[in-house]
Amino acid sequence: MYSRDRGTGGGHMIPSRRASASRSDLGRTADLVLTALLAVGAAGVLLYSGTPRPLTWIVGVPFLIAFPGYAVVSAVFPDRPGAERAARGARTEPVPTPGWVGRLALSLATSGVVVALVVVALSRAAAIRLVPVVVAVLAVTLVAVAVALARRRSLDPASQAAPIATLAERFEGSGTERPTAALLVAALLLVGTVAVVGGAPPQGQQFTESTLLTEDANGDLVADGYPTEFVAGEGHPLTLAIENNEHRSVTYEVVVLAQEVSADGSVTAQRRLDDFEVTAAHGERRLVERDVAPTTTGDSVRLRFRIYKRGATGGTEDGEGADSIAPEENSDVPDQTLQLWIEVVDE
Amino acid sequence: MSQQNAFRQWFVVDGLDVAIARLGVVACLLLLGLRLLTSQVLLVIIPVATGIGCLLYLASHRRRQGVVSEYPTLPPRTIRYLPAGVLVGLAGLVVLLRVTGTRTLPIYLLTGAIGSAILGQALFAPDDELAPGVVLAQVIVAAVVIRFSVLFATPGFIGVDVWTHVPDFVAGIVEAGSLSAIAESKYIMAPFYHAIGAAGTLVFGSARAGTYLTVGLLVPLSALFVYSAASLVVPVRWALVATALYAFADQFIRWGLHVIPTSLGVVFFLGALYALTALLVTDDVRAGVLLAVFSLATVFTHQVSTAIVLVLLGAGAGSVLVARLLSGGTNGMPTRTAAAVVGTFLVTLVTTIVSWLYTPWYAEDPFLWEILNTLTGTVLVDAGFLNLAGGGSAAQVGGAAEAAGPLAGFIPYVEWFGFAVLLGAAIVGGLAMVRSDVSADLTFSYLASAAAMFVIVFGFSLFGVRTIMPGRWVAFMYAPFAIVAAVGLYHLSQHASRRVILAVFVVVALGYPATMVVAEKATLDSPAFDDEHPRFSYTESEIAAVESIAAVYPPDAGETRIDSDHPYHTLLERYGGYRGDPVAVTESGSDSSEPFVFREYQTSGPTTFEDTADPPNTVQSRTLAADHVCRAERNHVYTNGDVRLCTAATAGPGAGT
Repeated sequence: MYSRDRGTGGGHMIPSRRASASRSDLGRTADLVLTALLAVGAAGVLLYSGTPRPLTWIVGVPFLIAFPGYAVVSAVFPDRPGAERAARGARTEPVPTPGWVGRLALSLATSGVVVALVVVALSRAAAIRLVPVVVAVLAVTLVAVAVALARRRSLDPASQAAPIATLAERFEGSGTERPTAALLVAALLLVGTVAVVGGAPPQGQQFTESTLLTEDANGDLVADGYPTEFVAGEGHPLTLAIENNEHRSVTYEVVVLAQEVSADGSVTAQRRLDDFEVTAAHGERRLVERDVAPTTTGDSVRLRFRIYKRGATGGTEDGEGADSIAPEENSDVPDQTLQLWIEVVDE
Repeated sequence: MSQQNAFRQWFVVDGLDVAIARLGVVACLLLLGLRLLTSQVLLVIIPVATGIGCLLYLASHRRRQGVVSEYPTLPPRTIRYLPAGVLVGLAGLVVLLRVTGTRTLPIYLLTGAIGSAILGQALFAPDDELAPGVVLAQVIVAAVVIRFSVLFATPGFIGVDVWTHVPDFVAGIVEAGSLSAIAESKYIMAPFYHAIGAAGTLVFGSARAGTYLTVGLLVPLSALFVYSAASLVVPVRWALVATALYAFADQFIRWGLHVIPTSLGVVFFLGALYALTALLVTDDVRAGVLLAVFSLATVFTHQVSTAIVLVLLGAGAGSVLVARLLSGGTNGMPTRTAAAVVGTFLVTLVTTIVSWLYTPWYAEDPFLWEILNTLTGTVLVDAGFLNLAGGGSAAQVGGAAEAAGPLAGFIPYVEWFGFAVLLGAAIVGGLAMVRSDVSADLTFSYLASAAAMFVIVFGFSLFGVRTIMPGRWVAFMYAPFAIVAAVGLYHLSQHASRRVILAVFVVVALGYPATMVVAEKATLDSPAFDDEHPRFSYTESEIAAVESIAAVYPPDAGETRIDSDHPYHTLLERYGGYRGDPVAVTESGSDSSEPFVFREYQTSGPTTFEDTADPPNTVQSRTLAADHVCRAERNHVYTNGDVRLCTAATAGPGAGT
């Protein structure tokens, strides 16, 4: 191993033997008792159906990815870090069992293993539901805590792991020097920022979804198999679905046009077939069925559904009651447009 | 010389490390010549980084017998206030992301600055000012905040595969109440990720939160394993450096954003790496048990991760066996330690074989035979020197370079700079470990596993062998790299001149995090170089479009096809349930009569279509007019302003298309 002549900085990571020896029995097992109590409390909170989401997150995370693993790792390593192990060869230095950081890492990953095994076992033996999962994880945690307690107590008190007592010793005598105070303020700022931002998520994107639908053989509304051959003057039912995700109530104005289109793609004539308004609250989906009856014949007729959000249109492109519109008068831009190519024949 | 160094005698004749370093310099110069044959930037990055590493080692070796240089440090006052600055910076990061809604250049700059502040403390704190707990806490908090602020600010999920794993598999397990939801997939024999995600879903109420708050949280926290393993090899300062290097590595960030079984594989791999290190250092049989637990957990989590763990275990087993063989069993290692390493390797190997024999795959044969067949076919048929298909972005045509701007050629070097720093430092560390008093079995376990992964990631790719998904290996490879790199930096701190130390450490502290956090894989949600890489995240309207289209244009159990750009077609496929492909285009548009989904991002972002030219290629969608594929002659039956569904018209000028 490398010599520690530059940058050890970690001498205080290992508690002194003298300090360990002075710990009370409760101090040596407080972490395990606390783990068991917190796990039981967390299970209760998680099984209670009315628990607010933030509280579920706060107790659910350690319940799933910390407590079970911590209990198991404590059972595997009842001794304090830094205990001397048999050295081999030139390894004359004391070789530590996992330090607290190593145990923390092991606890997290082991929790993942425990939870995965619990769910796999439940899939075979029962069902993967909330109650069995929570109860099983709690049971594994409590059993492991019991084993850890027994194994820890079987050791000489000075050799027993005692993380809480170690932590208390480490913070003992720490004053409120300016860097520490600044660090605390910064930590509070970070926690507060995360809480505020997490508690007030952004509004989200504003948009409207429009879909042209027709009824299929089963009576379902689908975006496929549209009628393509229309008889002039005869109506075909088409449904317009509008879903409002604008985070406000919106009234939509819809104008249905039949456009004759030449081979080069230019509109040679168009006629307004219908116009109507639809009002939808945020999150609401409205279905509007209309009989569309084009009168202009041709094999290249384009049905256009122009959708304007109220207040965004500045009026429709045609005068009130004017059914026939010159293409060049079609100057304003709808918020959304749907189109369907059809063939219109004479009766 | 002690007994344990008997093995080293076989290799470390005096000056062998120097000879290797000199050879390395020559080899790198020769490797640079390959750049003339292909445009791969890695053929510059790797030789240059390796060469510089060798030269640094040689330079420091010449001073080995000299006086130890005065170590450069920052003023104590600065060191004391930097932790608070880091936390304030993280708070600013959260606020900025909340305001902008997506990661932008200022956020990337701030993230890089936070990384520099942390690495700066680890590298430049005076010995008596270094607070390991405080620095480690900053690394972990920063790792969590950087990932989770993005995860929860991004609608849906980030990445491709996650859209199958979470909404389909994890949610399916919860809905069915059993693992039957993944019975048809290869994950029925590797269900740990989905099982944990299902437990999270039940507890937190949604598959997204359930997966993020369990597996997603374990990923950044698993950097603690790097610290724990490194602290068994080097002093605490350098363990902190290793942890910071790993936490800010682009590929490690990647699996914290794209939370899939590979992510959990990384967690268990790091656990196995730590357990192997602890076992070889402490001879504690309990570490052997942990090694077995994490190795087997990987087998039951992810197949590619399993292959990587087997490489690690194989390297470990090979090292201890060779060590014992060459030293006549007198290298000081207890038999139980050797047995634990070799036994874990064999048990994991057998478990893997049995598991893969029962793992379903797309064809009728089990996963094991299919993967062996594919691998054999690749090696015998497809492989060829410098067959770099899929390995670079240079293949893009259709005005890509023009669209990307004059700095396009410079960007890959920025993105790979962090890797170059890591590689260079690891080269120094590897050479230093050969000579150091780190135990021989541990040294060769690290070096052999890192070298094997390096060859698989970059060497195999050079020959077109990509069946084993080398891109997935990089995050795993970075773990031993980070630890060995920390050894290298420690070595320089002991043996290099003050000027060299200062120059190298400043480059590491400033250049590494800044370039790693803007690299392609660390920015899947919102690429820092958004002219070069498409985003693998979607807006709310893009996600809503897939849901709405799937509701009214039924995917018919994956038989219905809808085309779009890459990567949006993957969302249509995995979340919508369609058979999605990148649309094929010609100069006049698309001949396909299949439905096509247009999105506004196709006109501005570097998404791609398939080019039907011979040979087939990709074309950047933004180089084509918006109505090139979603033409006016087609029916437009769905829109939400950003996304439009264009279907074939049976009347009009475009009838049939």
